[in-house]
Amino acid sequence: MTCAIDIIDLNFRYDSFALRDITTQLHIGEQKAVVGLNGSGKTTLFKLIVGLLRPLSGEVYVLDRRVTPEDLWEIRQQVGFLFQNPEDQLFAPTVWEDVAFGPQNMGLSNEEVEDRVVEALSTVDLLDLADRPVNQLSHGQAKRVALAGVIAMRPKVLLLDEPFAGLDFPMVEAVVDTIERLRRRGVSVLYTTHSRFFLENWADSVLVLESGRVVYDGPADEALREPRVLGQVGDWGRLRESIHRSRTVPLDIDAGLGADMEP
Amino acid sequence: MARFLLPLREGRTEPGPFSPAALFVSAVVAAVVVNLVTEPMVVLSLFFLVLIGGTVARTRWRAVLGLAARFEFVVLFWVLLEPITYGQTVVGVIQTPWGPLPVYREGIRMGILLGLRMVTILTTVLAALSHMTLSDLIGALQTIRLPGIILGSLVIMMRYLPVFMEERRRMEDALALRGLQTGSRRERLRALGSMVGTTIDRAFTRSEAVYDAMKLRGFSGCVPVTAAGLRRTDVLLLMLLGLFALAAFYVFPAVVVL
Repeated sequence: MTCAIDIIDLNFRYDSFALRDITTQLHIGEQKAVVGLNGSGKTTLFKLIVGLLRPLSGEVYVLDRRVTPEDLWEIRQQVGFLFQNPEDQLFAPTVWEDVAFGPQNMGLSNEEVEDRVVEALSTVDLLDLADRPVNQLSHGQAKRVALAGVIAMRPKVLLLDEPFAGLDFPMVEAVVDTIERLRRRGVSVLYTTHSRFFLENWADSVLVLESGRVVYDGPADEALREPRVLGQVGDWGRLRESIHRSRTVPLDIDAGLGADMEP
Repeated sequence: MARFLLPLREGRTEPGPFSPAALFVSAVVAAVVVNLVTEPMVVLSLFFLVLIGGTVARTRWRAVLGLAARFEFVVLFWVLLEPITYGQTVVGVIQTPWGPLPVYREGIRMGILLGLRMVTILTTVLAALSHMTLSDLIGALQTIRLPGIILGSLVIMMRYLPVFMEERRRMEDALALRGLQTGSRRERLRALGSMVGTTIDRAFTRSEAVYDAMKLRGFSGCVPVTAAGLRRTDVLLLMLLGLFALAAFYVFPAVVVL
């Protein structure tokens, strides 16, 4: 077994095609970034992997097990999915109960559930917030609690949808540190990002989606030499030039805002 | 949560002397007792008894009475409706543009009785709930064998109603910043209508996302709540409830007659 996730000729459509002919692998212990503009199909791909959506055609294997409606619960115990918005993921009255939800559903004993909750909350450094109501958490704390809820199920694969969206720098550091700890224990990670920094510094490989198709799937260090990849994560040099050009134009304060604004 | 729905405690708290299940059932039984009393003065006496008992038990009255006050329109509706719809003995006539409206003695008494009953029952139940967390309440409902699917829905509703209220408030703020108050009445109504629609749409989208998140962690229709069970000290609560019923049916009526 070398593949944590193996996707073969995957197609999916909502009203029109959302994903077309996707074939890619995430190897065990690998960390892969999924890059693409908004609406390129990144989250849809994640939902297909965990069986929240059913493909039009194609196959998804998780740890050599095909994702089918019959095996969903077994698959979901192996794959943790962190949503982009933690508000969508936390629902129990307190942090402790939310993190305990997964292990309880796995049929573990109360002692085992408690061990897992303590371990998961310690991993994200939030054990001291165990009794706090989930609606009193900051965005960063909520994100880490949602991650703890995923970790408590001890998955072998992590799917992280925009794990750093809306986080301040210390929270980004904390989340990176947590995921690094998991990665060192052999957890494979597939995550979406719009950040060039993470592409350069925090991925073994990169999958680039454009309008639901794979336009690049390969090593991270080669990815940024590809113009189509640059188009997805942003050509910051071009933006810098654009800003510089704009700021050299003299101010015209009296003009105000109106229909004659030049682009 | 207390601001929106119930005066429940938040977070995890030290367990009180009585089990949440016994507390919940006692509140319901006390409400039934109050509902059976037909003398307004007796109901008023029971209301004060609840206040005294709650104060001894360190009830958070500000939260409880604040929430109870939100039902003032319902209470006032019945208090004001009964005098003009129930009874035979006319004690006065109100002149309205549509004609004279007789006011009945029996209706006034019934309105007062209903109003007092409602206030007492609300206060009793809310006071009992103010000594529990949401988990305690869920555990209590589990103990009295409420179906898991209802419990699951309750947990989600209690968790997300405040979120939707917050979301609605943010939309209201956004509308206000763009001059909602200065627009015509028609424009305001249209904007508020759109806001209601958007709130429902967002609520639906979010409920789908939450359901997905729960399925991923093994949700199968039931929330895994451990039934809280009962405690030996609940016997004391049963005795207090007996005294409450005794006061309602024998002691206070006798005092009122005197």
